[in-house]
Amino acid sequence: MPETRTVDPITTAVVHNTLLTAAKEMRETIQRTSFSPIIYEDRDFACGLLDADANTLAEAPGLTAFMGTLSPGIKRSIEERGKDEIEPGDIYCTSIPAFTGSHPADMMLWMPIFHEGRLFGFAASKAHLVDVGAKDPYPTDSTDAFQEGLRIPPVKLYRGGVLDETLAAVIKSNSRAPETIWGDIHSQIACFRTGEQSVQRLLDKYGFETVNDCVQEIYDHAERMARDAIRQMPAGTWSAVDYCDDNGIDRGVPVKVGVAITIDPEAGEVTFDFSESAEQQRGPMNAPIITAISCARMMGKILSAPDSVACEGSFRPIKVIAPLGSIFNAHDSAPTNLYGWPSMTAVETILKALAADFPDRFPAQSGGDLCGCFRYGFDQVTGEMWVEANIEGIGQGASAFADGESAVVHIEEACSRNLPVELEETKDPEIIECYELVTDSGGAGKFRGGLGVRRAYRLLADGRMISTLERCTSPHAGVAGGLPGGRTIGILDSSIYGEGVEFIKTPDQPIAKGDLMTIVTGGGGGYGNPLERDPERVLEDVLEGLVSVEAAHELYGVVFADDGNLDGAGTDALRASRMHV
Amino acid sequence: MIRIGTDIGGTFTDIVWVDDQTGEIKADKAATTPSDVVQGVMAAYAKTGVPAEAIGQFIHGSTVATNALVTQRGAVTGLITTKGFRDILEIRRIDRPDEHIYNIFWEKPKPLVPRRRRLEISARMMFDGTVLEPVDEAEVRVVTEKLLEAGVESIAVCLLHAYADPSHELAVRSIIREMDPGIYVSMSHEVAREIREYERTSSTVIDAYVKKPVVSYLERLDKTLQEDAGLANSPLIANSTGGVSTVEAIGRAPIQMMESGPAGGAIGAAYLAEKLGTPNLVTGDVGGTSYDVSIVVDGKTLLATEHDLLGYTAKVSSIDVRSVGAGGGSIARVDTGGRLHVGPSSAGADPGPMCYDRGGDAPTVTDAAVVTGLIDPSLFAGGEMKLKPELAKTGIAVIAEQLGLSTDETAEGILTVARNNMANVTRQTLVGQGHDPRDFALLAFGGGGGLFASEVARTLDIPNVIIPRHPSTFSAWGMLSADIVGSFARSYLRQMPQLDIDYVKRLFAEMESEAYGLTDEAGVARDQVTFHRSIDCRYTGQGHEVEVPLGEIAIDEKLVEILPELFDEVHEVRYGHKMPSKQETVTFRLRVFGSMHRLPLVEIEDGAESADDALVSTKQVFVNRAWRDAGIYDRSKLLAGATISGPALIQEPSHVTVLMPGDVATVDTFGALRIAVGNE
Repeated sequence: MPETRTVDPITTAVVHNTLLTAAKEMRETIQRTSFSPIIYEDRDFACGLLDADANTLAEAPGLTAFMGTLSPGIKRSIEERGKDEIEPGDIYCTSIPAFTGSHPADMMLWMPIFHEGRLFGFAASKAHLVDVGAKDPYPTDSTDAFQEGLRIPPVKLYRGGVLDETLAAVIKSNSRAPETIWGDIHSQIACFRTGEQSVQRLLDKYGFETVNDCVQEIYDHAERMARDAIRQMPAGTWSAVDYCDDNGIDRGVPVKVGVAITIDPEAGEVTFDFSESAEQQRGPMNAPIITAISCARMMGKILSAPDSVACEGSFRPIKVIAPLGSIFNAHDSAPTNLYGWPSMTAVETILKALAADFPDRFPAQSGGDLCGCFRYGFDQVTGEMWVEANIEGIGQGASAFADGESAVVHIEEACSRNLPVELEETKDPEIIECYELVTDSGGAGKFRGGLGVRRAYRLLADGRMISTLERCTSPHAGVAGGLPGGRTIGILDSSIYGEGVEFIKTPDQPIAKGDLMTIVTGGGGGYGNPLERDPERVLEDVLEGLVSVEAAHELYGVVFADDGNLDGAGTDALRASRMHV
Repeated sequence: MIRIGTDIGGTFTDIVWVDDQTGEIKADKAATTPSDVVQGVMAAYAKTGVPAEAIGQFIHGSTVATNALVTQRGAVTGLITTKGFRDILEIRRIDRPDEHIYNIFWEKPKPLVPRRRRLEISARMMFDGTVLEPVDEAEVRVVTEKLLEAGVESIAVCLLHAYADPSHELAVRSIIREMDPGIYVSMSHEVAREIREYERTSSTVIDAYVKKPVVSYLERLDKTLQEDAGLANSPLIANSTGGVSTVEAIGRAPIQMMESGPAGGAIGAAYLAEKLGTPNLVTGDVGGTSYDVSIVVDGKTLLATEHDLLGYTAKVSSIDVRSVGAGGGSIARVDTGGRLHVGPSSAGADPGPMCYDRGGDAPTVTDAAVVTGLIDPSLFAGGEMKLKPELAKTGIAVIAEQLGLSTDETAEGILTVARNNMANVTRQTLVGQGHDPRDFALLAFGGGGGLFASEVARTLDIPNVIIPRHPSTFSAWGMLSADIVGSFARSYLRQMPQLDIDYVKRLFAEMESEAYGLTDEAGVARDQVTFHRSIDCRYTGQGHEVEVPLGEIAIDEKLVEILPELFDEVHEVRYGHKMPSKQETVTFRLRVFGSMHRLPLVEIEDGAESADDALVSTKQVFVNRAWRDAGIYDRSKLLAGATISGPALIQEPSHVTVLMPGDVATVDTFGALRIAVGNE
């Protein structure tokens, strides 16, 4: 039954659709005007509109992990500085992780939107700037926050429409690429103007009060949808433990990630409790609490209402617990450059905890990493720097109904893209020797996990590398008898380090002309007992080269006749003997 | 001579014919026959009564290529590619589409070529054409033999860096041809000679996949038209770039037929922009399931170089059409949280809206328009289909109950939400390319164009709406204004100061000679052929390019000096800034226009300002939350200069133009309705 309402449902629908379009227009503006590929190609940014209390109103689809961070960051700033000082024409900026929920390279900016003298809300964006003066281009061994780049507390970059030249000069002089980051900051600001225009038109047309009423109804509607979904779920607590490979400093020492998810159908609430996770690390595998909030919001959204767009109301039923001094609520001084990896592993941990009991909401674990490796160097002739950092697709986990997809970016960076081989060979002294799916990397199961990929780079000049690989040593999991997918593997065939040398995270180190660097990305976990997989599907996988004949026999218990066709009787017999073991 | 344009839609096959001497234009439609659409085309032709010997030209648009993708009924296709890279087609660019960012179960569209038919050869080239490994003929033979044994009907060949030098692909093709002269072959350097292996491979595979259905369809259409109907010539086919091609040219690169459906409207819009003196137009084409938007700037249709075709990527120049799921058949529903949604799901043509009485049980936008009195149930589709208003009312009443509103308010609300969705996609399209909606006029057409246009324009501050003559068959009409158009591209990555101008000359010369091949084939005299040259450029380090039109600039040494400034200018206009960085060229493009008969635009008779002679009756319509008297006008009786104020309905067969309170429509000398959008 519809509840008593004060606003017209038609106007509410119009206001909501228009705000969502405004957020998308903001995103197009950033993509159109940004200077660096990390923004327009990798899409390492988020933007959206917030209300006067910095609640999430409308977000553009973007970097999933960023999307939940704008609101808590601006809220914290308002808490500390109050609202009274906010004037038309102001634009705030900050790079402090405690506000942005990530590392100093991610710059968050926001602009108030006033209508006839009243604060309606904010346009906000957060984007990865290519260089903010950290000790290396991308530190994996920083030991405190101050090695990771310029720290700007929430301050006004523009005051009443006038740029603070001093602050601008400080920002630029602290970057290795001042013009580029200044251009990107401007593209973030340009998108505010786009968003504000649409909001002002709505306010002009319907009036401040009506639009505000619609906004409250938009929140309430999303909240109703989410809570209704949660009320249908079983009560209880589900928990799991997983590990990151190491913290970048203490190499080879796993970092524990523990998450407990409590569903309270009566209250219509879900709590994500990160208390079982490791204490704050001395390497950069720490995250500010806003990261944990964002991660919980993303997973809570997938759990409660995956089909609708997110707003503050979607997040109201989602609670977060993370003790101060842990990797999910690090102190402000902690190194956080690799903050995204504990978060990514938390996603995998939550999948591990929930996939078996919530089969229509969650699949098995994915490969669990972006599999990024920096390579850079200086041209022998011109002295100019070249730099490349790829992200790769991984295998996605199988579900209770379907095989996992192969070679898709981690859900935390849902919209990011890889780098084309032809562009890379044109730009950099490298030849890519292969870029292909990895046979048998998908976890075996009644439904098979997706496959990871292999990309191999042959260096044509001396250079340097930094690796942020994860999920190389930590154990992966399948669900309900399904087997884990393949792990991440980095291998160097190198005149410096030797042949076939595996690497995990590495700080800045040299690589030589002629070296071959191979990255193999992880596969998705399987779902259900592989012996229950339809033999026809196993045959199909073998014909497609996704599963080897050996694995078909060993893991799936499938026997082939000499002509390559299925041996039905042989398969039944082999499976029966395995089932009884 | 009579020229005919036909356009196959989901429900109707439209036909428009024009007498080049008198300029007289007529339009009609026949039911689309999904099982064999050629029958529908012939039925539509039969309605014209034009004898075959009077036909000078038969232009045709169809979604046959798109349908092959939708139904996954393309050719059994194989792919030959570079060793180590057969999975590029499946890895794609690893990203999820926007609408699936929270969809942790997202699946990619199934590759059009399964892995077992994606075979590799060791030939390898670098970005500058340097050969690392030559083509091994014996290996190519083995690979081809495997594909033939697997029963492939069409082979896509895409080798790394083939945009730089096609010799390896050509060598592979000649071996394939030698082994099977009849098999279809698509080569990446012919389909999309541009850098980026996934996009090029995907385009080549799409081309190979649809080639067989497209060629066999066109052959059958051609044969039926010539043998059964007695036409003297082959038809011309609307292509994706805003022009027409010969049957042979489409057969060589069928991917260019992908946007053949919406193309007619965009072609017509560009033509009208010139004739009506409104250089900037944004189109709103309302069909049964979607609202399609394209842009004309300075009289030219905007093209995009990359397209998503049902989840498959095509890197080919083609009209930039954006769509939203809002049309006459869009379904209204209330979710469990009490929110009203309109579209994107659609009742389509079958079962269609509830008022069709064909078993549809979900209330739609058309039902809402019937309830509010905007659509006259007795005049729908030219009166060929009688609607049942009581069924529409029953459906809307269910939604009304859920929302706690009256049936009338709900019906208007459904129209409001649909119009707002249309306005949003229009605004996103314009603003996304750096345009201000206030600089545009909205050209509305399609079956439901006039139903929504004035409100869409008002929402966006677009000051004027244009409703052309024969709006419901406008796309078919647009085809009659088309030139022979072709697009060619060559990637050549160089820092600007290092451009080898002789090489650039050679690239353009090659493309020109291919272009003349096209126009010669269509029988266009050489003096009727014009070229547009452009270069995609970028700042070094950027991953995307900006197309820099060269206009009249000669291709000589001076270009090396001029190009950097030219690029800076274009970049600044589009993105608001230029950069101090180095600049480089990526892709050289040539578009060819072979001028054909131009469509005469006939002036209509002048009349008085009063439209009283065209006033049929007055009836009540529900607009702005009240039942109001609206004048009902017969468009066929309106003379130039006539002026009508809203609220009013202007009726014609298969179309109604709604004037809201405050709107004023004037009939121009060509019979188009010019609506000055009121502020209400």
